[in-house]
Amino acid sequence: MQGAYTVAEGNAPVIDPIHQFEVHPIVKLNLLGWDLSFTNSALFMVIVLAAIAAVLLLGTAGRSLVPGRLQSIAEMLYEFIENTVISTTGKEGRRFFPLVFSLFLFVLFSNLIGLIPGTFTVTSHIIVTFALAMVVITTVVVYGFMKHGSHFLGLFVPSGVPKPLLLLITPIEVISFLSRPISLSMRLFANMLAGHIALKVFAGFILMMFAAGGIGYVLWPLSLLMIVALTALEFLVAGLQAFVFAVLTTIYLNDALHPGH
Amino acid sequence: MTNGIKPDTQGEDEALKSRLQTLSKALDERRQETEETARRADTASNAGMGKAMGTGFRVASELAAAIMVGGFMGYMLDKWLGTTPWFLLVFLVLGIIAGFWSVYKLAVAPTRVDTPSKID
Repeated sequence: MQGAYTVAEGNAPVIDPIHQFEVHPIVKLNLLGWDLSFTNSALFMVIVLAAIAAVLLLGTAGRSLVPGRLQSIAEMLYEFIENTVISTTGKEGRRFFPLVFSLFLFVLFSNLIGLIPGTFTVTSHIIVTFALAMVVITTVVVYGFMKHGSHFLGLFVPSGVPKPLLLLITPIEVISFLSRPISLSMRLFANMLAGHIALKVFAGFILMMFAAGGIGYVLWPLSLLMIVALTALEFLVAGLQAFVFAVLTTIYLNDALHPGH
Repeated sequence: MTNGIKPDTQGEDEALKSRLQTLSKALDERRQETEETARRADTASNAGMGKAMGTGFRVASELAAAIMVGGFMGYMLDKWLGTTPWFLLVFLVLGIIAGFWSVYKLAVAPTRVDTPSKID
């Protein structure tokens, strides 16, 4: 959340809750007509990766029998995703564990680091979440065709359905499949965007109340209380969305492993 | 034991007493077990809140995404074939059905219980 409170000519501050999502280049770089600038978004992706690496490397460095705090965190994250993958996809799903674990950690750390005031939330941009979703769907399609060949298309033809009904069911299943990357990316993006805008709007209310004076001096704690409550909710949502993203990834990968329902 | 049961011999009385002891011991164990499962269920319901929220987000986004994809496919087909608005209408309806179909599938999926079912 990056602040942008500009005071206009009058005395009323203008609050722009969208400003926090602005991407601006830090190091300008133009390669053969491609804009490859290092932006604040890229910077925070690097920070997220560094944080993940730090937690996991430091957490697994000690290897004590009775884990310390950091080791507990690293072990809990690992076991949590391992349980999710194994219970959904079975033993063959183990090969996808690195993918699911990486996606989960990236989303979780992006969401959590984005909650620190002044930071940039990588996952609040739909292009980022859509890219993550496409990684998942591409893996599902490529692996599904590699392992099952044309049998993978059986995903769209549920067994035990009478022929005439298939004419209706198959397009529905196709639309349902195509909507997966959309829903996967939209859910994460919308949750992060909405939460951060809500926080910023309530923070803006405080400024507006002080600017208005009078009853505003009495009412501003209500807005502050709301921010505190919303921040708690956002922490829940940050973890939850990372969890949902990981669970859905395993569910979709399960389709690639066992397409015949 | 004053409720009418008259043991014939001393030995039978002893046997009954020991049986009572083992039974009450088993009862105590059983009671402890149920208390433990109740406590576990209590902590699980806290996690259940998060799970319910996750399911809610899934239902909402899957419904919306299917309708959007259906509408977009119809719109592009219409643009391509010049048949406005027929494909849009057909695919929008298909998208809505697909959305509700995925929500239905989500709802009928057997709910997984995470606590191990050791007690039969």
